[in-house]
Amino acid sequence: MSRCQYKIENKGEVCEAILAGVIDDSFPTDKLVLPADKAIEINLNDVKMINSLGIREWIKFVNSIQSKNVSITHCPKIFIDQVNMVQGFLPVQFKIKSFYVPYFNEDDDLEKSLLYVSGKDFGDGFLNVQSTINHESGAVLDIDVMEQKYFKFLKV
Amino acid sequence: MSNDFNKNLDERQLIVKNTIRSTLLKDQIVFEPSKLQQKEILCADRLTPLECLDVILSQKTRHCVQNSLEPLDNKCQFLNKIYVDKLDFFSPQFEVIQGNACTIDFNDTSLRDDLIKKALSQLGLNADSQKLAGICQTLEELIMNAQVDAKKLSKKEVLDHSKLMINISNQLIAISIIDFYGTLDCYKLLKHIQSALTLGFDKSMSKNSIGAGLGSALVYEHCDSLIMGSVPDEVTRVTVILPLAVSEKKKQFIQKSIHIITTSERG
Repeated sequence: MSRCQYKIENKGEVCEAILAGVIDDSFPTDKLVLPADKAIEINLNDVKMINSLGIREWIKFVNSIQSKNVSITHCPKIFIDQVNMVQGFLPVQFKIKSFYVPYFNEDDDLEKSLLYVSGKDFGDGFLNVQSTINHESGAVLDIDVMEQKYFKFLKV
Repeated sequence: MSNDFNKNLDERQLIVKNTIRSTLLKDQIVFEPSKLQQKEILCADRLTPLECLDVILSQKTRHCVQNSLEPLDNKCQFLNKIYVDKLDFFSPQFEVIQGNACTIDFNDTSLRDDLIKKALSQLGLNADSQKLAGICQTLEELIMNAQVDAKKLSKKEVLDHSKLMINISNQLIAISIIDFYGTLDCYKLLKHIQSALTLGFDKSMSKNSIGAGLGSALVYEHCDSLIMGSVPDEVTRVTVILPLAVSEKKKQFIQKSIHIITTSERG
């Protein structure tokens, strides 16, 4: 049984694939067939982990997609880390529409992630980085990535 | 930027002088890579992750230690302990860091998700925490090595359960896996990591082999210290010490250490 659960929803001209769980060697590449004539949106909000064998399966999966219009949304940090580290992890024509940026307060051990959205927080030639955010407790959380490294994939 | 981890030559020499008990062990320690030759331990500073690997691989050195989140004093104490009897390292009772601990047995059919959740919850850690993603990825790779790679290389059929041990202390977590296949070639594994770091993760991915080295490279990427050893056809232990609840800004200053524990002669 695959550790990655998926759901495919057709919304008019857009086909949304929602993935959740762990991407590993049990990733259902053969079952996840997406239409070539629609825009594809892959939602990764609930993907918790990608292991080394999953990286290979993911590359096979993205290379099997025929549609010319593919976007990825709600990318967790663990996904962005692989995009930055493994060449070919995300084909150049794929667009990242939104991704999470982690924030952390080391003294209080508090964490929170902020969703950066294309057109609002980043886009062609711009990136608005929030260096701190507030936690519900009132504590201030600092951005918890090395900015040059984490935002490398945006090429801004 | 400020960095508490670096230690100059005098500071390193003083730590070694104050912590290493045996004169014979002290005699095995050098402070510059160029002075390694037939010595076993390099006590270095400012080596990059790749340089640390290069030292071990080019000189077939056993230990490359640097002050880091896990302090140099602790690393010297570890050397004291294994100097008495290297085989102690393969015992589940051998703790690399002191603190809250848990041990869980598993076999090749155990579900990794369940194992990881169970181990972390026993230590009061939330597996869904974003900050633990790197730790969960490390656990996943290490358990997978024991379940898949070690088994594939072994001729043994019936085995004792493998063991997952975790210790946590202030800002550190030590994850150990002991399996009873004894198939790990430590230097070969380090070569895979070296290849991933020099060629890039994508190029190091062998399309045919299971292990591919990528998993080990991911583990090395996350770690402060990597400790591994094997007694052929008997037992393998891999222990990885990682930062826990530490900001990414602090993590960038981590200076990696590598220990190789083998019962055979060097080279």
